[in-house]
Amino acid sequence: MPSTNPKVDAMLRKFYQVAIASAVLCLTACHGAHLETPSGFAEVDGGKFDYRASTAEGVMVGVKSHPNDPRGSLDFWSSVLSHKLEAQGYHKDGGEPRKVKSDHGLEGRQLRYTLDEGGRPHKYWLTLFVTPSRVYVVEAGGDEAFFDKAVAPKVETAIATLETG
Amino acid sequence: MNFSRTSTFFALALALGGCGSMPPAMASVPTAPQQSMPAPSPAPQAPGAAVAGDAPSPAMPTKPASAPSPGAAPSAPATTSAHASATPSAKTTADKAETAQALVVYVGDLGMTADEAAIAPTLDRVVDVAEALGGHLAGRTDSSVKVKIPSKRFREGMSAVEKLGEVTRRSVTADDVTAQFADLEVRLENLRATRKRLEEFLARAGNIQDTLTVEQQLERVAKEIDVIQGQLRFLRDATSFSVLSVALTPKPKPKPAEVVAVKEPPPPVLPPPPRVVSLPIEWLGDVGLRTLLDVSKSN
Repeated sequence: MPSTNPKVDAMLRKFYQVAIASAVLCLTACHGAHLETPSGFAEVDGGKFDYRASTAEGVMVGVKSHPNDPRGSLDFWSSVLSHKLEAQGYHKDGGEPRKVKSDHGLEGRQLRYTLDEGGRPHKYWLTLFVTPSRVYVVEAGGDEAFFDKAVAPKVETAIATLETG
Repeated sequence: MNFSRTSTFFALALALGGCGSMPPAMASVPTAPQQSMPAPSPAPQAPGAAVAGDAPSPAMPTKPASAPSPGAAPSAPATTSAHASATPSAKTTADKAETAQALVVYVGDLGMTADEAAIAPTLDRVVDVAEALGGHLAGRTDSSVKVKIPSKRFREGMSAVEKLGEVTRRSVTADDVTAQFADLEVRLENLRATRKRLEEFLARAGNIQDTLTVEQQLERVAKEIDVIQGQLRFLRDATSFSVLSVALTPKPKPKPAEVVAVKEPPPPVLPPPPRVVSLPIEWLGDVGLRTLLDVSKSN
């Protein structure tokens, strides 16, 4: 309902403008983590992922973000996830975890595994980025026959393009 | 007169024939017939009466011929007792045994083992040892050998042979034949004395009948001398060489080592892997390849 006082009207207009701008900013900032879709990939339905893309052969790369709760460091979450995966039969591929860094300067850690799935060897990369409030999990994997030297560098490049949202 | 002489001569011959193997004391020649005998006349000696090879034994001490001299015997009276008529040179068996060196026949028996391939060479070496000591081979089979070794070196030979293998059995028997040897020598001497007297009677025989009778006795005595000399030769040989028999048996082959299954120690009981407690973080269950690759709409 419009006010008869012109000063009040002006203040309300200002409030609405700020509220709308804040809402727009929030919407743009809180849409989730994202990657640049590497060449040869196409973004697919994310499902539980904030972002997911796939090659024609089914090599996938996806990103999820979770609250950093319980609040832990990169080491903590790396250990939690490595224990979890190794308990499920994943085998380390390439030794110690690799240090990675996003294009935005966020340091992360990459765990590489192999897994027999359906009688076929598969590759599975898990890259973690941790901020005080969020844990970003970038996953990539697929049949070893397709997760080859041509695809792997593209995945590495895509991981570095992480947008934490 | 002739009849009397012939009868006397027969009596003498019978007496001599019965004492061929008796000691000289028992076989002493009666003197009466000798006194009644005519003067000795040369008579051809019967070929069978010739006794050869009656040389004294080298193993026994020799002594001069014990036959009484023709002149001495007749001087004794006819009724002289055996001891009285014994000539000084006639010794008894006991005397011989005392003076003679002990004569022992050794028989050794060795049982030994050797490698199967070494049995024949070892038997050869046994023969070599015997020959080196002056002995010789006496018999041999595939696994045994019998050698004769001079008795004086028997002990030395046995010791040498024992070194050729591993002795499993050893035995030595010793048979003392000294008394037997001495007895035979005494009997031989007596027979020689008897032969000599018969030769003297033969020389004095006045007719063919007497000559034939004496020659028969001479022949009998000569045969006895031959027998005794053979026995003496046998004993001499037996005491000169001792017999050593060696039987070799192959050593039992060592059994191949039994393979004993060695039980491997049970693997150490490893402690279970470190217990990792899964944190109650829901989204951890969605991490993994299956979720990543699940493109169903429900995902």
